[in-house]
Amino acid sequence: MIEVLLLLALSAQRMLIAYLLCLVIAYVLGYFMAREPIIEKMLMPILDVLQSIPILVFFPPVIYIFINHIPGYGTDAAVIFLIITSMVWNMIFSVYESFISIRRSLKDISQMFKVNEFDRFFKIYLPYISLGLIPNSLASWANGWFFLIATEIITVGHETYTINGIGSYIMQSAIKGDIGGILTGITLVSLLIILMDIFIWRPLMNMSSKYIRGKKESMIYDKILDFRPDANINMGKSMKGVSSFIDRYVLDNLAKLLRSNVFGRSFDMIKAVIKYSIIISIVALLLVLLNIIYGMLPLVTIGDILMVMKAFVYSFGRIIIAYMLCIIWIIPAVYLISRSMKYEPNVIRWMEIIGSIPVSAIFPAAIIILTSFFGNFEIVAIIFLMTGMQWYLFFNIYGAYKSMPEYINDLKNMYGIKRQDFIRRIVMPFMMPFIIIGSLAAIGGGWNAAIVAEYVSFGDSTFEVYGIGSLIHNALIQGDVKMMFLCAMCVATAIPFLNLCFWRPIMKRASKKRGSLV
Amino acid sequence: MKKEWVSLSNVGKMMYENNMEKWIMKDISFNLHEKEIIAIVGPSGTGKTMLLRMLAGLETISEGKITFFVSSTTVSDLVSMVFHDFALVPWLSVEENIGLAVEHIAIDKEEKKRRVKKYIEMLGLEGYEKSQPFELSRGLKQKVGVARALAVEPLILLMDEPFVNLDPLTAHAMRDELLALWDDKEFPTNSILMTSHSIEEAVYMADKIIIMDGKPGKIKRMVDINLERPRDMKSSKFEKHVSRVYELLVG
Repeated sequence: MIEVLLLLALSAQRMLIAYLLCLVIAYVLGYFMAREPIIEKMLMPILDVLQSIPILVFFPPVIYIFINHIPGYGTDAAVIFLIITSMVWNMIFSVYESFISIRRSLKDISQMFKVNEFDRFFKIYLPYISLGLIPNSLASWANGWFFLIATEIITVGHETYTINGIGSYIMQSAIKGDIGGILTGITLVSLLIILMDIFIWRPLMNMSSKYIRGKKESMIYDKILDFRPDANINMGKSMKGVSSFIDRYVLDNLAKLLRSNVFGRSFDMIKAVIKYSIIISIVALLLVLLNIIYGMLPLVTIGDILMVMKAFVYSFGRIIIAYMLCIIWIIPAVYLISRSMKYEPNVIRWMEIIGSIPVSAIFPAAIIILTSFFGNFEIVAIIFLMTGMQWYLFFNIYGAYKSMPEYINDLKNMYGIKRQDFIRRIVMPFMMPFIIIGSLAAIGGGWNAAIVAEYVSFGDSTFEVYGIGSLIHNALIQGDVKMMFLCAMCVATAIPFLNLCFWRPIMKRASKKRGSLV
Repeated sequence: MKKEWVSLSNVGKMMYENNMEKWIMKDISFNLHEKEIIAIVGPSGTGKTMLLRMLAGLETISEGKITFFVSSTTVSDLVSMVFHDFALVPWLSVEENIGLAVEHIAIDKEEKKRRVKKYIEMLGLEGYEKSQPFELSRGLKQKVGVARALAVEPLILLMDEPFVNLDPLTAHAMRDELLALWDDKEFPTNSILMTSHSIEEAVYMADKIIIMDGKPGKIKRMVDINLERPRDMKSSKFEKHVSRVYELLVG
């Protein structure tokens, strides 16, 4: 038991180090971005793309590089680095946005009463920014736990890479078939998270909302609603740096040439694609440069690329299936739960608790139970994916359903609107933006889950299904840097691309429609 | 002839809205004299608040000139402002909020403390020194706002709809308190410029009412209120003034 607690402490310590580093990064970058327009213009698009990428694909290449470059501390450094990448983006944006959007009244006071630089910073700006950081920190920690445990699990079984911690303990217990060990591990992690929630985050959140918004909030779905994907959708807003440059000098001229009836409506789409391609090619160029300097990449063949693309399609297909299965259970569940006044609070409280356990901690146990039950690993993998996706969807859809104003129901009864009309023309448009945010988060979560779920090694036996996750795992085992980078790049380019060309346009349309409803 | 403190000549304010020039107000000219209270009334969007903000130095002037006839060496602060949304720093106590404002004044620490204490007492905020703004009622919050603005002992006090967020009883009490303070010889603030949505309030408090109208906002009329203080809201003279201003505003 003592040993398990020590492992838990080891994991928590990594989280803490990562979080403290994130705080430093967020304050410094956020401050300079708000202060210096040049830094803002340079960093905005980069941060924006980085935050929308499922970062777990980067873990194999990162751990490989770190182990080879930082002897002794390579694995820990890699884990901390990865946790930072899972925590830091929303924190940076929060500091930046607080700085630029600081309430006018606070600015007025500083100016009116000639508050000196020192007081201005420590008595006005710093508290304001820190209060805004609290909800973001909460989301970051939730995110961080998932990745911490996932990284520990991924490394089990590879002698060079194994990282001691609660995640690897759970995984090793699973390999040994030690159900007690698995349960101890999961219980301890959950306990720590719940205790932190009660004794740290809840009081902090109450304080934050008391000063900033004047409303109390505690529910975990707030946390999930606050999640990063929201920021992804706002890409348009925050990409203004490079984006407006491209707009002004490239696209407007192009627009003059192209503007004709043929393009008409699809022009925005074309614009988005061109803009995106330019940004991606800059990033790709930087990566290629990096590779040339390090000399790590032997020439990539067309075959390699095709293989990665095929794996991508397989993984994506699996994620889509898992997504649909989630929707199939969630929509009726939300409806039924909301109808039952009696059980609703309890059910939701339990779901919050379950939802706050990092899904990655449940993976190993789920493998044992499910594989013996289904015998088919493909089904198991899809169920895994669902566990990594469903809470984003559930809490977003539930939150949307609950936030529907009372009068909408009155409307239905008062005017005798037909049920299907009511759902199609009133309920759906209202809920759509939330469903989209939830879907976006769920698919991001699905990609991260896929990296863990598609390849599981149990001592002698290995379960795997073909996809990016298994490809990247095998590459890690073989030390195939080229493959690791190709997989990472493939997901890293495809996801922002999908955001830009698919999610953003439908989100825009959905918000517009909903806007006219309320 | 009374001494002038500040003179506005043809002041205008232009802002960009969707890259289009938009004039908030134009050709605003008037003087604020010593021991005078001026109230500006008029519909929303005529730039009343903007005018105060320009006088406070919180906004730039696009056109015209604002001239102060006092050198800033004789008084530490020419102007100070009371905001209609209180504008208190949420995480600082009443004491600290007021302290923050006097921090820049060139007096020693002890003097600053005494200053804060003096104005806390003046506004009847004793016992609330350590309270946080969210623990206070609206009336008390605005008292803190007024105490803070007065604590810098400005020559001219600007008040942007200072009583609009208060319930009628509190607002009435606050108006009387402020007028009583202003009557006091010890009181360092000499003149007051305020905006208001209530004609009764303007007539009750001001020596002169400026009626603004139109988009961009312009001065429609200026009305002198020559009534003895304290004014009786129920007297026929008072009511006559109110209906006159009302007619001018609407007509």
